[in-house]
Amino acid sequence: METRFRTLKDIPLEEELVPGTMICAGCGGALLVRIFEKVLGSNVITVNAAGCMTMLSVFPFTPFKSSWFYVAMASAPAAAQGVRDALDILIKKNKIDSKDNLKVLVLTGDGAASGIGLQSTSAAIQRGLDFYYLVYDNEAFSNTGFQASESSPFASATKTTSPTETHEGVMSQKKDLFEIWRAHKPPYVATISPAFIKDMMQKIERSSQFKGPKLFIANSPCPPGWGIESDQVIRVANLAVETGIWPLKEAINGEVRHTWMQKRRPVEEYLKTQERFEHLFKPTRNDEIINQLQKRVDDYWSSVKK
Amino acid sequence: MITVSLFGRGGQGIKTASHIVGDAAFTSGNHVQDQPLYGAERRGAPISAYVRISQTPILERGKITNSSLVVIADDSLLDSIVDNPLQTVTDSTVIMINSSKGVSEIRTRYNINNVLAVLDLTKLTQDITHKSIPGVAVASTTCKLLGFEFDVIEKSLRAELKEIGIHQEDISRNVELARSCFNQTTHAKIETITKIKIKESPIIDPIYHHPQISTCTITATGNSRLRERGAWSNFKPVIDYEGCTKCMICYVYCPDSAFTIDVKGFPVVDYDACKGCNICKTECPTKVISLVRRENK
Repeated sequence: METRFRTLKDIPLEEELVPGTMICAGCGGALLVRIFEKVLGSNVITVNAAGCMTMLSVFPFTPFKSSWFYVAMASAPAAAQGVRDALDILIKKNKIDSKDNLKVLVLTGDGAASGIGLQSTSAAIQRGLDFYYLVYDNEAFSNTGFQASESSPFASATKTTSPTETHEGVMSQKKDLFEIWRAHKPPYVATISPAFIKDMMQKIERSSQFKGPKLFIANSPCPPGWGIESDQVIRVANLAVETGIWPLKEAINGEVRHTWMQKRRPVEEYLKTQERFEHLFKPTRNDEIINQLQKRVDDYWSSVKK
Repeated sequence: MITVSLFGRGGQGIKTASHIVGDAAFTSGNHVQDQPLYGAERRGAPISAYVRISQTPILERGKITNSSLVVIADDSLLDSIVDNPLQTVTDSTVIMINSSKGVSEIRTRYNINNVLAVLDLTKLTQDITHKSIPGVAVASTTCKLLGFEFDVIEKSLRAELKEIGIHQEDISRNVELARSCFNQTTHAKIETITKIKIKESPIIDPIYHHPQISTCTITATGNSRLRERGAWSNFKPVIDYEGCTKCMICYVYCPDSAFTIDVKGFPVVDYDACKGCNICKTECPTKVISLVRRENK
């Protein structure tokens, strides 16, 4: 399929989100939502599960030019089903014109996507619901002060997993949402990054040709939670990809293809940028954990088909 | 009882400042209550903190309604109607404001007749710590106004900063900052509050309304533009158009839609929308974006 996003300059200039939100300065997630909505255009209804993006619309203000529907943490995919069905029925009964049809976009954080809302997401994918699903994965419950979620990476510090003498922060591995979703055999699953906007725009465009679940997991650096300066968000997101920690890939009808396959940098370069991994370097360097993290990334990439 | 209200923005260290003041007051032999108050935790959003200090046990709870001392760490809050920090001020309240403006300008602009101290703590913080988190400067100045000894402040400061995981070298810089603030501030005569204003609240029976009425519905589109966020940062990005190559990187990476592209293809910043994350400055490939301190924000 011919892409309309050959360079970064092909970005649509129309803003679907106006300024003035309560979202943190430098939020990686906010940037993702802004670009995602730009590519989808104005005929969208965003179904928002409780999370950081709750703060987009604080009564009586909204940044959206299109519709926004706010629901509880676990139920966004179920609400999206209701919205989709209502639209389909109204069009079928000629109550609304088919040119006024809306795309349904579910917007959730990683806490909802990989934990509280996983069941309703699984059910929606299984039913073949025709919708877009965007997870801004900031790897914790950031909105409430950065408590660990099922998506928090191994050995990272969160509010609920402070590093101690016996614990190196989060002791479990990050849930592999991409593979969980892919096991459902939806038409489209992809990972995206705010540092690779062209790749992201092309993926959204490519997914739009499919009817059914179109699922996206986005690396979403969180300045207060990850312990980075707000201006470093894109740099850190870039390092996540270039160290191989955040593979950029897509799966069309289950078949995986990587969209970034270059020479990887050492994982350490990514870890060092963030306060949540600082205990691995100070007061003394913890080579055992750093090597474990590197090995996990190496093992992943050695299984990737060239 | 002495009641201290501290006001600032998320990320300025106000919560820590109130802990330091509380700890110093406790170590000086007082009964103390110290509590931060914020909505959803967010960098740049207004937060307040309250410290009650008394020789006798404290029975009051909740927000402070009349303050002995009001400390304002960010002067842009004075322009806010919703989060205005002067709401708890009475005639006898002492006010301390962190601002680069002059005392007389603040007095006339905000109609303040109280005992007032205006200090540029942000500049002092930048000079000494090379960061712009004025929390420690605020805490030290507050403690001095309250009449605590520096030894006590330093001990509380070290303990609080260590607990939140600040590095040793940054703690040392902050101690230096605290000392500098301590030496340039004088004691203030702060009146103790004896009478507490108690508002009587009527009992209201809840009435059932249909969800169509009782849930929040916004029928406007894109009206958040009315909310100006420029005051969230002390700095703004300024583009030198001579070297700008119209690559649009700054426009693409702005999380807040604060850029527009003009007819000639140049990026333009909307300073009322810009929260000052500075991504544009860091990502600009030709380095033509610089940061300028906001004066009248």
